Amino acid sequence: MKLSAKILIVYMVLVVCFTGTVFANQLTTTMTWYVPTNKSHSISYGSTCSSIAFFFPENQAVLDNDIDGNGSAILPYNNRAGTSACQGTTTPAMTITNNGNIIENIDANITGIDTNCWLKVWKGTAQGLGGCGVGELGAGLGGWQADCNRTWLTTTAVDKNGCKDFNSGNATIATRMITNLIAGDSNELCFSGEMRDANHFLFGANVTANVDNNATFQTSTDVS
Amino acid sequence: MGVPREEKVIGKSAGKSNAVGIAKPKTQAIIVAVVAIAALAVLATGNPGFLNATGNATVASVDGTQNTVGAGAGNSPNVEPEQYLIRQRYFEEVFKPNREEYNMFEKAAAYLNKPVNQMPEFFNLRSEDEIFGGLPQIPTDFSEISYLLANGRYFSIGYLEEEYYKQPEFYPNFKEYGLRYWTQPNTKIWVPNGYGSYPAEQWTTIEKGKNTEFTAVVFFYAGWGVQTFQGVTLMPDSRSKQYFDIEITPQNFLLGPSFPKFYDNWAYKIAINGKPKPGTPPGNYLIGINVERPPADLKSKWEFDHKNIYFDAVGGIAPTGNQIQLNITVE
Repeated sequence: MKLSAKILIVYMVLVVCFTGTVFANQLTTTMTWYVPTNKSHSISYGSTCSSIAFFFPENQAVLDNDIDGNGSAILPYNNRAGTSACQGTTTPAMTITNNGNIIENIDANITGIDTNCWLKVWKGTAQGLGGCGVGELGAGLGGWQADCNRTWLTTTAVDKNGCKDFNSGNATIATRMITNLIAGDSNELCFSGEMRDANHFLFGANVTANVDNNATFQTSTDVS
Repeated sequence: MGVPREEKVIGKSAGKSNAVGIAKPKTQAIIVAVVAIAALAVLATGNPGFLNATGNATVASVDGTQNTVGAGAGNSPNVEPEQYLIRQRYFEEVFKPNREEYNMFEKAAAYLNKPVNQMPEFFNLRSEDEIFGGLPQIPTDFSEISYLLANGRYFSIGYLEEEYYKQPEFYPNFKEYGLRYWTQPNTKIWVPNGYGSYPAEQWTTIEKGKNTEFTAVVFFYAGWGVQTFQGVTLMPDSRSKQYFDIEITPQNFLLGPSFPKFYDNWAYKIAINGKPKPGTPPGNYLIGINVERPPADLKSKWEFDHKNIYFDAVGGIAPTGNQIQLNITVE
């Protein structure tokens, strides 16, 4: 055999061997599970209310609306004078929107609250109207209950029929407000302020009159 | 090449072919035929093996519930890969702003059942163009870079300047969740609080003798629909400070509104430089960086400058799951 023929054969064998690797399916695909996390949210309020304009004036209470420090079922307002309610039949006091791309839970706690101040929180759209419902006590108090039926230390969220009571006895520990808020979705929270003693008696001077009894409602998100 | 003639003998001689030498004429013919068939097959399949020199292809998968890149991570639901035979066109289009197609005032007018000519006054703007009018010019490779980042395949984000990160379309979900604040406006509520961070979680390794510190870059922006100025202070959690020296730049800043128009300061590039303290043992560390109240002097100034529309960003909502999370492995 001529040398050139031998070279040709060796060349072809090498080519065959090389192409053989292609047909042996050695081309690999790297599978990567990656979540490019975008964590984003927006909080909206009814009326001109905001994180620092959220007042419960006793003289606006549905039950016992005077100024002796023991009213109940008070809607949140934009100022001390009770000019404009943050919440109503078709208006939620607070709407939390998940604008990111991960599912979030919303927890909340409250700090600095007076022993005799209570905050009831429940979920909006109580009557399917995109707000806080009508309920027996008037506009925007559809989920109001004298004694909220949701256990405090639980991951069960509030709903339109089940509220949570925040007060000095429990509220420094975060509790679940909204479970699995998916990206792009919103949930509404509704509020009622209460002024009464720890035993829930409606009458008797419990909260100091004519002074601000402040509390900080702190919501927080957690990746579920 | 004479291949057709020699093909007749392949069946008989295939098991006898000797790859190394002393080939008989028949054997040579077999080899030639095999080579020819192989070459044809490779050409017919588009030659993937040769095009990809590394032999690897990266397939990024994201959380299937919400954020596959093609349908929900920052692009219009109307832009799907199937629309483009040439995928390069898809990469160029998927994050492309296409603002002339938003028609926000028209949609808002229809939603509100009001004449469209009332919309500028309704939004307190001169025109729809003003919404994005204060932003830098969009770079030509904007869509491709945004797509890479959303896929987790672009890591030099420190080089991305404001012409990228100040465009709202840079962030996943703007077209789905951001535009609706204009197209479905709600006068009963307003948005005084909200912010986002992207990419909110990052990973890196500090190897002895290779690198002694890390730098992470995060884009921090006002949430969609936010009408206020928010004072932000970013602070690493106290536990992280036991093990790392961390410098955040800028650490205190004023986040401008994203509604009804985007202000120049609605988004920031945040650089986080960290260095393990002497004696930090090897291991995996989680550095949480969260929003806190700004210093009193800055807050006073910002409050005075913006009166009723200044708020501390932390006042409304603070993520317990860490607004920014850095996972650092020290080896």
